[in-house]
Order: sequence, then structure tokens, then C-alpha cells
Amino acid sequence: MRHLAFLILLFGLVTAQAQSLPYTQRLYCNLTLEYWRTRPIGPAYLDSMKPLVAGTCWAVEAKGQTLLITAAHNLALGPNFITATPPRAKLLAIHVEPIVGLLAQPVSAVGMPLGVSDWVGLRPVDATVFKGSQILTLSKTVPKLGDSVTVIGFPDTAHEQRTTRTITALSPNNEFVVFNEPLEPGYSGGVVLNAKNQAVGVVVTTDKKQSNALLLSPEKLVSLQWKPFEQLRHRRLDQ
Amino acid sequence: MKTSALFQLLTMLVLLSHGTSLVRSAEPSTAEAAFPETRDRLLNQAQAKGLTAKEHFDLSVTLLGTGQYGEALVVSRLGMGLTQDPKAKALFLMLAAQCNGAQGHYVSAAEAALEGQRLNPLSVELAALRLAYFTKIGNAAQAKSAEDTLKQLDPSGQPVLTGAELVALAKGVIEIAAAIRVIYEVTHDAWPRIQPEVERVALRMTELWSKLSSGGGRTTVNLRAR
Repeated sequence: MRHLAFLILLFGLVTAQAQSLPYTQRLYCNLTLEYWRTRPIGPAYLDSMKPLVAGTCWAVEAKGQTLLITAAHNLALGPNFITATPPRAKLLAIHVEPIVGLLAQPVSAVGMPLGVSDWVGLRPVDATVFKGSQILTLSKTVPKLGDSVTVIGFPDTAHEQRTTRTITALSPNNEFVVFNEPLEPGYSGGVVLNAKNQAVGVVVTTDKKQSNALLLSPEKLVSLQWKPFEQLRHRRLDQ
Repeated sequence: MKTSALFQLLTMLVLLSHGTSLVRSAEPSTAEAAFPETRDRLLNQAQAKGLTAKEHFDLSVTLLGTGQYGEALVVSRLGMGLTQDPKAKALFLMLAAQCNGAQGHYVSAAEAALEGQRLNPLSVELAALRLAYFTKIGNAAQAKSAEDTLKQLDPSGQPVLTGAELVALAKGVIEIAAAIRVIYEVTHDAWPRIQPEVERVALRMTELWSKLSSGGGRTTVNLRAR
């Protein structure tokens, strides 16, 4: 009996350790914004700002492919990416350097969804990134109004955080959901899980008034248009 | 020059504040005192039979401790080529980072620290070096990532499950599956027959767990720093 109790205890400890693997990973992005600035008197000049973007990403497996999902604005892409332009300044170019996870792995390719949408798929240079968090599966069913969901991400913390929200609105075409309470900014790109611990969406708005998540499906993942990251690293906006 | 010295001091403070054994293990004062003798002995050995990876490490630490950073860097690079153990390679990269940092080559220092951390994700020292050097070169994303790593590694000593640790964990789960089969047989009055097997599995799992909780099978190369 002693051996039995010992083995059960060990089993509990090891499974608890396995479950401690986080659901999401930190995503940081160095942005370099180049401006052409004019002055009331004197010649115009080039200026730059280097803000740091902090968000969340997570690994998902769908239809035989494993990739990372995040909000597009975390990489200065998509319709929700808006920069605060200084006075009398015109944005000329954006340079993006994202890194994923505790081992700061770079990105090799970006999967752009069809149409205009604030989420992207990422392929890391090194596949060991996928060992840094659990690989989630996407739910095949759309959540309903009033469903309670779990949102997981890094709201400006080194450790993963989770919070519960209720879905208070669902778009007519099942594209996005609205939560009953806003989320903190670092949750951008975080995962929304249903009661079965399956991913249903990605957080894209962490506004003070309202937070939204886009709903994802395996079909949407398959239809991503992949581009080498090198094509997106430096973008000129004045052409 | 003044900034460089100040930054070295900051790096040392960061390392010490995270309880590193690296600075102690390098023992610069002892190494400095014994340097000519150590160097001569190692060079003699090198001429006789070529240095091993560990001897390269010892020589590189000695050179670093006596301020010969360029030579220490060359020796650490040579030593790294002689080992296949990722954690031993990470130690050489830790030396390379400090050699580069001491010479003011902060970009190379930061890259070496990051490369080393990827080989040994549990190294607090490499996380501290990453933080120090990426902060120095103004790479905010990398510095934040290093800071997160430090916070994850330091407070409770909980290991981050990556690479080798996950493999060890998977092996543990397989062992446990075998154990469950044994338990099943116990419930069917087979205790006398299978008692030795139960005890063997229990012993093996104890060893496995000790390895995991002590840092997931650290390097078997008996180098000075951990």
C-alpha cells in the first residue's frame, strides 16, 4: 500500500507539472517609425520614434499545420494599428522586429487573412517555440450570447494571467464577440477559450470602454496567405 | 572607457543579485594569482595532447579573470567546438558574452548571451547577461524578454519546461503508465510475484523526479560554473 500511495503522489506531481505549461506566450515588437517633420520656420527634417509593442500570441494546430496566432496590430499590421503621429509630421516608414516567447525567437513568415482583419498567423524561425506553450485546438462551434469564456494573456506581466468574461454581443456574421468588461492592453493577441478549453477567438481590442475578440475557425487558418517576414519587416508608406 | 567600467560593474551587480555562482566560480583574484602557473600548465598540456573542452573552459576563465578578454574569447570559441553538450556550449557562450562585454562589444555580448540561453533556458546567469547587454544596446523587446525570463526563473526556482525538460517529463509519463499497469496487477493478488518490479519502477521514478526537481539533468561535463 505504501508503494501505491507513493506512485499516486508522484503521478499527481508530474501531471501537475505538465499542466503548468502556459497557454500563451509573450510577444514583443520593436517598432521604428520614421517621420518627415516640418517646422514653421526652417527646413523639414527626418525624425524617428522607437515604441515597444507588448502583446500575446498562442500556438494552435489545425488541419495538420501548427502556427502562432496574434493580433495584427501587434506587428503594426491590420486596421487597428494606429500610431499617435507627432504634430506636423508624416509617417514615412515602419520597421518591425518581433520576437516570441522567453527565448526571443524571431518570426520567419506571416499569414495574412483574407479581407481586412486584425489577426495574423506567424511561423517562427525555430520550431522549439511551440514547446514554450500548449498547442491548442480550435472549437468547431461558435460561442453563444451569454457564454462565459476564459481570456488568457500577458497584461503587462511576466507571468501569464487569465480572466473570465461573458459574451454580451455577437456580430451578425459571427465574425467577432464583445465582452461584458474591458481587458487590459497586454491581452492583445491573447486566446479566448470556451468551457471545453478549446480556442474560439483572438483578442483584438483592449479599449478602456469595450474589448472584442475575433472568432476563428480551422477554415480561416487554412485560408491564410503566407508571406516571408522579410517582405513585411520594413514598409515604406510614402510610395 | 569610464562607461565600459561602469557597465561591467552593473553586470556584476545584476549577476550577484540573482545569486549567481559564476562570478565566484571564476574566482578572478585566485585565478590572477595562479595565472602564470595555470597558463603554463595548460599550454604545456595543449602541446602534449591538445586541450579538452573543460581545459579550454578553465583556461578561458583564467584569461577572463586576468583581463585578457580577447584571448579568453578565442579560447572559449575553440572550446565550444569540442563539446556537443548544449549546456556546456551555453557555458562557453556565457564566457564569450562576458569577454565581448568587457571589450565594449555589447551587440556581440548580447547575441552570445541569447544564443547561450537558447541552449540552456534555465540559466539565471545567462538571463541576467541578456538583460544587462540588451538594455545597454537599447533593444527594448529583447531586454523585456530577458527580464520576463529572469522573473520566471528566479522567484520560486520553478523550472521552465522547454526542450530537454519536456523530454524528461514525457519519459516520466511513460514510466508512470508502466506503474499504473503494475498497480492494476497488484489489485489482482499478484503482489508477491511483481513486488520487485514495483520497487524497481518506484526507485526509477524517484531518481527521475530528483533529476527534474534539481534542474532537469544538468550537464554531465563537470565544469566549474553550473
